[in-house]
Amino acid sequence: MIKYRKNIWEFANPNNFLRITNKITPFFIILTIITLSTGIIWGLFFTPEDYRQGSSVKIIYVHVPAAFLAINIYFMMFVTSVIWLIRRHHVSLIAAKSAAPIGFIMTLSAILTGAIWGKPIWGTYWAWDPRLTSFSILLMFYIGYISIWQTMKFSDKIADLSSWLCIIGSIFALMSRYAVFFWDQGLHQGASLSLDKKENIDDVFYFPLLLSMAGFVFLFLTLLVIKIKTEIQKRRLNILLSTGNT
Amino acid sequence: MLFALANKSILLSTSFFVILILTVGIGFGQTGDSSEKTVIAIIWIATALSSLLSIKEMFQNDFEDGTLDFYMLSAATLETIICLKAFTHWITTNLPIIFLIPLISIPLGITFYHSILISLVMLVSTPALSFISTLGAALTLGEKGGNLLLSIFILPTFLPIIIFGMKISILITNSIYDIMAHLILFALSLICLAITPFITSAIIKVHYS
Repeated sequence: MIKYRKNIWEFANPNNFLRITNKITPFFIILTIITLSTGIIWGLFFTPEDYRQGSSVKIIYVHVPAAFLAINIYFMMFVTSVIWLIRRHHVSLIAAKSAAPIGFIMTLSAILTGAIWGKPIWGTYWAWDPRLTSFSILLMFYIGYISIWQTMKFSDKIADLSSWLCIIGSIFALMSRYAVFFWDQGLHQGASLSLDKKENIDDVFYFPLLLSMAGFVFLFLTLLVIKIKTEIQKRRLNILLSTGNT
Repeated sequence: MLFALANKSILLSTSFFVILILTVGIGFGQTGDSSEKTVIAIIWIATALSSLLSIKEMFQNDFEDGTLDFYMLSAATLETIICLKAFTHWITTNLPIIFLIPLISIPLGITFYHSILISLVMLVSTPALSFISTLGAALTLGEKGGNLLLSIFILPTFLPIIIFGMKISILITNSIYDIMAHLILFALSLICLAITPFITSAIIKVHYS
């Protein structure tokens, strides 16, 4: 009989977390491979070309999921940092710490794919458009958060400081976003996918895009779980080494 | 405040500001591009950098000689003390710069009326910079080589104010000017006044936990 779990906080115990994720990780990997490969292959090879953008439209299958993850990973880091500050769950802190480099790479790849797409369509790799500006600001906050972990030695103090930095970053990233959108809506088109709008992109592009987005999300989850597991083992090893019990 | 006067840090930050503006101005002068827009950009960036210069001193000395311990034990709340610290930082670094702006920007090609308006914009927006600076000072408290780290943390958080301020200054030079613009920047300053002391005091308490 399956033991009924009372609440979500039981996952915060590193032992429980490791036991459950050890079972889940292979499924995550399989799901990632299936969704990502079908999404990307369907998107790149079996969709028609856009009548104006030609084949360069196909970069959407990397660009949109990466951008979607870049923003949501920062939001996830904000939530996990707040959980660390309030409830002191180490897994939550490690999740924030491990998610940051992934989010950084996602932001960078969103910017780079956007630049590659922008050259033939807009005629320039980079413009100081509100969306592009707010993404470069997001990149700066990722760099700040990663650099606090890279430069200082791990301690609970640094954990608190990094969580506060993440909270400050999310406040000011949001403020900067509204600051740049205050004046003009810019060159970049609106959201390609939104739940509350009638006018989304055509179904031909929509379903492979959804698949590749799911693929990116599973990729993120897989990487995150593996990184968290590694981090937990590393910290255990450090404790063993420092206490001298082998 | 007295410490800043005794330490001549007012002189330091204002001379840093002047020298930065002159060097960047000379650099732009070589390219032949010395429009009002570039001068405004130079002024804003120089203001942000010169307030960055003196952040480190905000709590560091108090932290090292134990004054901060007494602040935490005293009857006044830590938030009050942080507000006062930010205010003294504003008076000692940003206020002299605001008085300097008309002097230095008229030779660089901004009309007198515009330069007065721009320094008014500065007057309402630079308190936000000082309040945000307390965050960085608290974050890098006790770090020996924290200066680079500090600028990595703090410069992006200056961005909302710099973006709004620069846009409004550009509007002023285009003679599209409205008092509402000042109100937005003043609102930003007030938001920073409302949020940052609490976060800063929480961060300082982390160092003592």
